[in-house]
Amino acid sequence: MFSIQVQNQREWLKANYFRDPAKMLYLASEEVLLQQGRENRRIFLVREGSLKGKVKTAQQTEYEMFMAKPGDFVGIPSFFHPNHLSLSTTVAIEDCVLSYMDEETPAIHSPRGDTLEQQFMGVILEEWSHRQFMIHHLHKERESMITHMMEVRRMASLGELSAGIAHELNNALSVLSSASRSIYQIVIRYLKDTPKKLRVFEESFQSGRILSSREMRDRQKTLEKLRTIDEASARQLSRTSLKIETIAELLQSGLTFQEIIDTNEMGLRLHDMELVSKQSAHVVQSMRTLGAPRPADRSDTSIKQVIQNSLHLLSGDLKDVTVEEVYCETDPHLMVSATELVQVFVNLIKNARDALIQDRIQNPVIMIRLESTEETIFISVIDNALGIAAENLPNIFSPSFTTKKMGLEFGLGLGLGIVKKIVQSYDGRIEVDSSPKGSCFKVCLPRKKF
Amino acid sequence: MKAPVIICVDDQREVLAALYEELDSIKGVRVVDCESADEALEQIHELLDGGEWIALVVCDQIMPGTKGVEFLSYLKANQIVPGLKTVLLTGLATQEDTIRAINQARVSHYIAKPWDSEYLLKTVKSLLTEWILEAGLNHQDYPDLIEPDTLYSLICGE
Repeated sequence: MFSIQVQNQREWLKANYFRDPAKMLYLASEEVLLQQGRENRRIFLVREGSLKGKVKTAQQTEYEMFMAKPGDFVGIPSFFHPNHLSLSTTVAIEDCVLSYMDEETPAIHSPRGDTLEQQFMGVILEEWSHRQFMIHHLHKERESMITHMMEVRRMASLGELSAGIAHELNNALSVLSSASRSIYQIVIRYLKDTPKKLRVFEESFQSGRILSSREMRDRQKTLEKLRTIDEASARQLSRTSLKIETIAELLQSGLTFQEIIDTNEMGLRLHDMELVSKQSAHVVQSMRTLGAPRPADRSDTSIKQVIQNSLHLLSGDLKDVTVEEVYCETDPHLMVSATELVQVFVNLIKNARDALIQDRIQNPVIMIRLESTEETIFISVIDNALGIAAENLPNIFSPSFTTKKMGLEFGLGLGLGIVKKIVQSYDGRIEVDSSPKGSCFKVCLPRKKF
Repeated sequence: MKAPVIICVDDQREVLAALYEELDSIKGVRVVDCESADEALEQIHELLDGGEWIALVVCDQIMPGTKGVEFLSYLKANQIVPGLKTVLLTGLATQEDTIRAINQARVSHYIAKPWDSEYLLKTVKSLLTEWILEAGLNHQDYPDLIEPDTLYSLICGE
């Protein structure tokens, strides 16, 4: 209602005060109409072209306060203000035609009132609210720009930090893994004259900790029944990775309990050292990918092999999950970095596994499917957990988003961010399909000719 | 002398084995290792039924299924093992976990991973010393389990 009245009033003002052909002004593009802080005793009506009003603050920053288009008035605040000083510098954006009125223009009788102030009141108020809206809008824009910049800065410093940590940890890890390698070889040399011990050592080093605590207790009971073995030895022997028949065989061949136990323990411990240095290297690698992207070495890689390697890396985590692998008949290859792609699958499989555990699924199944067409290779990781909450779905790929409250490496919310980054670097994409019956992450990698 | 039992719980086998070996180096205790809180609870009931003395539980926080603090809170609230000492061993705990560890589970001690071997053994022996005295046992029967400073302050402090 108000704006209709103002609109009518505007038309009335234009028709009555801006029709003097002598009071017309032509501005070329970039010509200045009003200068901030200078006196102005005219009201202009834009007939053609457009202008913008800029304000310079005391801190010398400049921002845009308004735009004036044909039909708009310019100069109202300074015209009516007792000091007549312009609030902004008004510049033509393009060639403009303006009409104006000044203090000599006589006020015409109107039902709204006989003074110019009364007659222009609606327009003044409207002008003011326009400007206020504009400032509000600018403020919002700046706010979101700052948020964005802070996010960028945060990611950059996270990147620097992780690159620094990665460097330090990699040094330490190289020492650890080369030391364990070297001890392994020395032990092999030491044991070469005692083939039975060598066998115990090699077997335990290869197998690692295959027995669960429960299985070890069962073995202890079996061994205790042998009578020839005392309780303490039975307990220690039960903890070795050796088969009971092998233990019996070794004892018969003259090795002592302690020899078997120590040699086995040595193999297991070295196995653990190798395993954890590999795991840590993997964590470091993930951090580094996020931090400082470096072009990885790409080579002709079997995708099936990469999937199998990823599953192997996770074998410890997947012991309670049924893994179904479905491969297409062809064995598709791509020019990729196997290390990078392993990270993609490890992250996706690990997420699936975590979801299955978090949702306490009775028969947890992860299906991995490899499909291939002439243009694209598809790898899907499908779980039968309860799916991703609809409100979380838009955020899952953004860095620092996580639903996992526990854990260090897996709670930073870096996982899917890395996955997306790597897949995009191969011009690929990820499709996510999630329902309360499970989730499917489908990685699509284009087959490119190089 | 009956050997007091220490139960250690960690879901990662390699860590559990390392922890087991550390604790097993103490003469005169029996160490039972478990890969989950559920398994530990089952073992606790079995050991109690067999008339064993459970002195201490050393438990990891971050495990699939029941978390360390949840498990220790359960043991505390239900008084499953009277006089039990508990250690929470963790690589990372949120502030919320830590608050619950103190207020609900009333853990006797909190040790960060990676643990320092000497510190772990000293802490465990110190708790075993407390347990022995609280159980009304004669500390002279358990020379290998006694942490001298703790013994001194407990006897002279009172």
